Amino acid sequence: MDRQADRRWPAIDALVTARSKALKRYAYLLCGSSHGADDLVQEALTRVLSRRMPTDPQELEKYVRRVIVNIVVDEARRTVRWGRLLPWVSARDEVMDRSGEIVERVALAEVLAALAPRQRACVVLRYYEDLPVDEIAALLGCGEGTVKSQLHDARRVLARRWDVPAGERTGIAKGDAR
Amino acid sequence: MTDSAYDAGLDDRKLRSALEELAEQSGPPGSLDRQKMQDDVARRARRRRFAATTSGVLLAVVAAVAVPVFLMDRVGGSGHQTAAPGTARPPGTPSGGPSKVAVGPDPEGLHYLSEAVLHLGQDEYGDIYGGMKVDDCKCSLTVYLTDIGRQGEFLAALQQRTSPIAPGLVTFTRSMFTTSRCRQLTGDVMDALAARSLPFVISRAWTGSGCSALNLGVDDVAAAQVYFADPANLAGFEGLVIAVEFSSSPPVLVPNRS
Repeated sequence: MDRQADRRWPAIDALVTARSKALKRYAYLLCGSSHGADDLVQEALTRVLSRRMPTDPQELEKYVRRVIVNIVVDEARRTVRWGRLLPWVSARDEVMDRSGEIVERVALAEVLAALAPRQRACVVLRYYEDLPVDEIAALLGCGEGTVKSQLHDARRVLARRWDVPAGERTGIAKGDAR
Repeated sequence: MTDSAYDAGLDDRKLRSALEELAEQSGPPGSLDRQKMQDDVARRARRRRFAATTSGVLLAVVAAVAVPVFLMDRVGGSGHQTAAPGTARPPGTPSGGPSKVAVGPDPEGLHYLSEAVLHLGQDEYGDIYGGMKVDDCKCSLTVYLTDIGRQGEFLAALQQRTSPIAPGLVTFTRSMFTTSRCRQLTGDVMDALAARSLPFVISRAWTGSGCSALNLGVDDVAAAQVYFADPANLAGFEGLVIAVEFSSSPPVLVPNRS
């Protein structure tokens, strides 16, 4: 066992004791599954243990959250890459054409699951973590314009598909013909 | 740009509260598998050590190759003053030095002759030998000596090693300094310049044939010319011509421009 990691364990234990529920919620919103969220938190803590980490508890939590979102986005990138290779190594499944179907309004979890991982991360960071756009951009390693564009696209999808009770809605998505 | 500008029809407050509600559904946090985490940390540490070792070895190899080249360039080995020993050696020639063979006016013979001149100049005539210039096009070789009166003696010694030498193949010219003195002088100049605040960056330094000049590759030729035109800046380097030309290579001397 790494000696440095040994020294880092008490800080990690303290963080887990105090903030494991908050971290789990955050991870859950990003990945959409309870078991996945547990794995995500554990993987993030393992990565943090392997590196130099902040000693301040608040900074440490921020760092862990950043690692969590990076894992989610990186995993998504890997999946996309594998998706491109897959047709070369296996037969292609038949894909049903659903373009003509009427889009039904569904629960938020399902809409989030349909978002691209980076869009989903932007939504969670903006509306759950309440982070400003510039911080989200720094966290995701992209430009502010990209974050705004991702949020814009995500909000269009949410406005169109999210099943908010009719009485609670403030308006109707305009010009969204997609 | 406010969030409401992204689209219409989505209430931010509702989205926030819905996300809160959704997060509530995540359930209680699972316990950490500490053993797995410890194993993963150890595995990552092993991988990091391996990567560090591998990159260290690669770096050492690159340094071993690059540093001598860099130093040769800095000290003034232009590469064309003296033919590199071991190149274009006639078949059967031992590596310790050229043996006595006939030399004709052909490129191979010329390079072989330059090797003989180099050995002779460094071994027996180090007190007067000032380098040489090989002209492949004209198939001739110029030997620089500080004491031009001893050219016959030098040629005779050369012919003893390589005779017969075709007429006109070797010519002699007077040089200001011997190769060893030239190297020492060049080093002194570079050391002195390194200690000064120069208005330009020196990226290359090499000597001309027969140590006729110290050539400097600089980023600002005009500034360098002005600088070396001032005799006060050449104090201590009397007798050595300093020539400058533009060079965009990485700097060997980065003087303080302030």
